[in-house]
Amino acid sequence: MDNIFLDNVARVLNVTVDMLKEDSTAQTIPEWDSLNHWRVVETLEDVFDVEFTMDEATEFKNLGDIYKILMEKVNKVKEKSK
Amino acid sequence: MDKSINIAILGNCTTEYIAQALQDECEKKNISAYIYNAPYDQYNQEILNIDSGLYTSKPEITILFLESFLLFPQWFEFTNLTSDKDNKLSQIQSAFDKLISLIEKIHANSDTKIIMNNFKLPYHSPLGLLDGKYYPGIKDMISMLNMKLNMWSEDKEYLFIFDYNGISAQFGHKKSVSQKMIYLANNPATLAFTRVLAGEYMRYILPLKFMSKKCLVLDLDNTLWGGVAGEDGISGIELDITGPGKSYYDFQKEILNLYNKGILLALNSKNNFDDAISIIENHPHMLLRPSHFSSLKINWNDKAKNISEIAKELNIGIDSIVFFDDNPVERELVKTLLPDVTVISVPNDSSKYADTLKNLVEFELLMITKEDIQRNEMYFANLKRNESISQYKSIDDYLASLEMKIILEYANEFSIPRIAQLTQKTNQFNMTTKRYLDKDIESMAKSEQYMVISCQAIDRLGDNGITGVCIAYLEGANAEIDTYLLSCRILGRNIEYAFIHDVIRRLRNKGIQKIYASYIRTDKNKANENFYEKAGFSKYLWTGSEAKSGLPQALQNDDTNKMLYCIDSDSQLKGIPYIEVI
Repeated sequence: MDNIFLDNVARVLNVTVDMLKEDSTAQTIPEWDSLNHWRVVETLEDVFDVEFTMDEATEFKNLGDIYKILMEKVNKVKEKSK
Repeated sequence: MDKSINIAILGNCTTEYIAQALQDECEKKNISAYIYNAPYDQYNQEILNIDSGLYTSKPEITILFLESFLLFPQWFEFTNLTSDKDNKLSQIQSAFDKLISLIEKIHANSDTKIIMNNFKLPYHSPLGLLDGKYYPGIKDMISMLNMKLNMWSEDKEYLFIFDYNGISAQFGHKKSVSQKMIYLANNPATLAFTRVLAGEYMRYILPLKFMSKKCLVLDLDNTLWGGVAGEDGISGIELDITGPGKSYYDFQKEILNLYNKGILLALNSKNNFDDAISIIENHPHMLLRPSHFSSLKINWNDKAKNISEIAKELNIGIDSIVFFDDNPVERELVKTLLPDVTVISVPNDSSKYADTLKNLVEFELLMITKEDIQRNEMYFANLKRNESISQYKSIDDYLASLEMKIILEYANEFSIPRIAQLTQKTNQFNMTTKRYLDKDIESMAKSEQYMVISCQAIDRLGDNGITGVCIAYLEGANAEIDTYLLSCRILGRNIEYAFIHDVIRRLRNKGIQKIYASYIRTDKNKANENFYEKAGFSKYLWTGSEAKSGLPQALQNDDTNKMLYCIDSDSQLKGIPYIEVI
């Protein structure tokens, strides 16, 4: 998971980057509450200039999942602009 | 941190993000904010229960944040909007009553200041474009509620109605909200808009903590006018009531608004004092005059030192000063040497100056003093302002209502460049289209053989500046109008007649018996070819023996496009009664 992604998530959750793993969830990180979660979603949308659908936003399984879907969107945008 | 503040936030939607953003904004200003964010949608309970967290947190500011789509969702239904008008009006009244009872309850239990938002006007109505035909539609229902709240808040010092609708509109309603976030988190504001909201709430917090700034320190060159005083002089600087120069005029207008609000003004400019003051005193389009400034640091000293002196002279803290200077080097200097001064990031485009000033949070006040209001009332009484559009019975009626005044003056150092410029630019109302440079005008102005007169046109709506020129050549008992022109800005008002008549009067006073005027026809001025005749001149009929008849040398029949007119000393002139000539 790339640094820009991890830095932003860590900042919003107010944790250190090394605490973030692919299988991290709201259960494994106490700072990750519902309020923070939406903030993470919005921040990633802002920083990477993509949009998660409402359904996508409710179905994230863990941090790695968020990263995977985010990268899919980012690459799709890159493909379009080529 | 020097200052602290207690804030309470209540809402019918998620307000945590606003609370967080507000915390950040306060921290940026070195204020420790203790923010009590009430549990979700419990604003009623918190307000009604005297032991609630709201009251025990002892807030100095209470933000009540209520979204319309949660407060009165039924208003947005088609069937509601097409129901009885009285039904809708009573819905508005009932929403209003509910809101004011909440506010009154808070006020009965606490001396907190209350900031409640007004409601966003939706663009789309279930009625579509017919929203206005079933009055009040959804837009007017919400407008009415907003207006009732404003009116009710007028005499209540503790209450402010926050223009949520306005700031959302300015930001862009589409960008301020994300439906996704409303459904997922009941969050009514996007990330970016949340920050904007927090910035707007700082407008209330800063003055409450006596952190409003007191003084605006301004540069001159490329700040109050375009160009450099020392190089361009009074006639070369850019400052006008039209065109790009108007950006500086409008900037001065906004500064004047601040002055009238009670903000102190000071100048901080690297310039020769006398040159700069002369411009400030004499330029016709300066709105700010020396008397508006409490301190005039126009010298070659370093600008940070000047600011320190201004603070001492005015007996205010360095931290109550805002500095506006177009030069990034000067700004950086002041930022470095005087970190407590608020240095504005001035945009590198004067068209943005006025807006930059309008957006400032620093000069927000919670109250304007009686003294300032009284001073402004006197100012108003001396000024004739007219907002009404009346119906006129005739063109003369309309023209008379403009309260026109023309000031005629012989060419002087200030007006020479403008006079020359007008001869170069003016095409439509220009009888001979002779182009002159500054030095030509200057030598004619100095000569006994010429009379160079400028015409400044003022009316009820403002000063148009120098917009007319007449150059007459004198020889014995004869005179010839070499140049007669008016800027198209002031045509159609009969100023051209008032002007020429006064010129004729002046020439007659000098003993001139016959006045000749030539008209040289061009494509651009042909609409005005009958002007001299209409002004009372007669067409001159060439006889072929002009050289012997005492006609001035200049008046030779040398151009098929040239027509000559003449008026002698006993011709009566039709006056223009409603234009005052000075």
